Amino acid sequence: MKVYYDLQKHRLALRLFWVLVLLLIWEGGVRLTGVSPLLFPSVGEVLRVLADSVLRGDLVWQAGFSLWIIFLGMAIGLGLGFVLALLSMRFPVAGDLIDTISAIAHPLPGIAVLPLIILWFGTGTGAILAIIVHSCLWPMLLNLTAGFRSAPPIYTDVGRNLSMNSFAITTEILIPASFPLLLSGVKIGWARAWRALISAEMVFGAIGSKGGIGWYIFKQRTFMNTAGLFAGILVVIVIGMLVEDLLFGKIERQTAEKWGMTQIRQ
Amino acid sequence: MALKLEQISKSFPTESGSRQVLDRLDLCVEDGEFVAVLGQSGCGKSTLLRIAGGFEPPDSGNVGLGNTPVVSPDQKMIMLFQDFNQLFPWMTLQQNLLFAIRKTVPKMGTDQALQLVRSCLEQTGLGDSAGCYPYQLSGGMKQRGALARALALSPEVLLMDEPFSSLDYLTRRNAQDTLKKLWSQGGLTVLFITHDIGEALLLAQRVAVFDLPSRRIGHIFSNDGTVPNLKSRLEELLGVE
Repeated sequence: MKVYYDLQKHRLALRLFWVLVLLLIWEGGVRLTGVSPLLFPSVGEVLRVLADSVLRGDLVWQAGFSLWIIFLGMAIGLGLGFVLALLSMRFPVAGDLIDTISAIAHPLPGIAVLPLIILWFGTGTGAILAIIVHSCLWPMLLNLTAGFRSAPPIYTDVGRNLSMNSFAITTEILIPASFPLLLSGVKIGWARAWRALISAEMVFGAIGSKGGIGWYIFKQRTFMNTAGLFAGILVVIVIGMLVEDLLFGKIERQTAEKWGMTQIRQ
Repeated sequence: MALKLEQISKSFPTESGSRQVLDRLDLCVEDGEFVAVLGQSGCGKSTLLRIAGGFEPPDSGNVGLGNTPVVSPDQKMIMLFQDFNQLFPWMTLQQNLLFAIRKTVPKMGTDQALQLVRSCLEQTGLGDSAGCYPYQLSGGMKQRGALARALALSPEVLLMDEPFSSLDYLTRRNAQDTLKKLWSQGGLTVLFITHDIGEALLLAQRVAVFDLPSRRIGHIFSNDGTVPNLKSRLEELLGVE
């Protein structure tokens, strides 16, 4: 029990521990039931295919392509989110309009607008980017707007007292003051965009020279390579966890938690 | 420089029309003077201070610092708010002070700025807490931190809106002593809002009493021992049983 309590202090080690437990259950289940490898391959087989694809360079390239395109889409989404949130803050009429558009677009899944996006953008990188921007923009915008609105007015008063202009107050006071909500919006935006990206890649097929990770998974299904399919899914999960736990987790610990602006994780 | 408020009126819209908060109020705080404004909670003292600092425009009347009209906040008059959380939480105490200095005196060198920060933190008894984030400080320390930030800007006037009202007795006395010591070193004009008669008498040279029915300053007393039974008179004016 003491070892487990020690593990709890190290989030990454705890995550790895439970992943290992799940892999053992998987491997044990496959061996004990003797299920067909076409339906449920063993962990060893999946890891072998995974290593093969990584060594060939396909999977690395395709995962890299997916990450690049999601990074681009999220950067565009974040930039647009900032502009719209600032317009909302500055002009109440624009705020009402943007709130209404958000309410309409936010619940709309990326996959539902896919046919329209294909019509408008074709099936190239532009279409994937449009899906990513649609998926991440609205949650980021909602959180940004909520963050700006909930920043204590006293901070703005202090900024005005220091003779700061509106631009400086926004960039140097309002943005850090709303950082916990901003980060939480980016996290939600990332999760939605990542799911939308994989779905869109599977629908569109290969974008760019080799396509992304979604296309890799789709190809494995076409060739009935179940182990390869699992390998692709594993990569999607690992990237998701790395971004969530390592990247966002680290940013959160270095900022909001360090500043006491969020409840410290027990 | 003297801070002058002349014929200040202010009202706020309400559901049933508007509510007059200040009505042709006059008040003058002389250069280097410490004036406390006493009044019951919700009578408009904070509005008076926000107008004095240029945070709110009056409906009519003028605010002037020396011969210069006050139309917006600036670093000559620094406001200390009632709220504990006026330090930026994403900066350490030292960074809060440095940020304020960089914004108001951009040409000051880093070494000189750091020296000033250290000196202001020492003066307010926070020399050991420079590297702390505001959430690591107690309420009293946060208020003293805000005071240190104000001092680092060498303001001509300090506007204080019940800054110690939410502190416990001992912490409040400690903060009051710090303020009194700093003011007695000279060069600082203070307009201090409070509803605590004891605090006004402890700190101020003159005590102005806000008169709720007329919505202006009703009485001003010197707190130099020349007014007999001043405490009782103030209690009577504020309706203290």
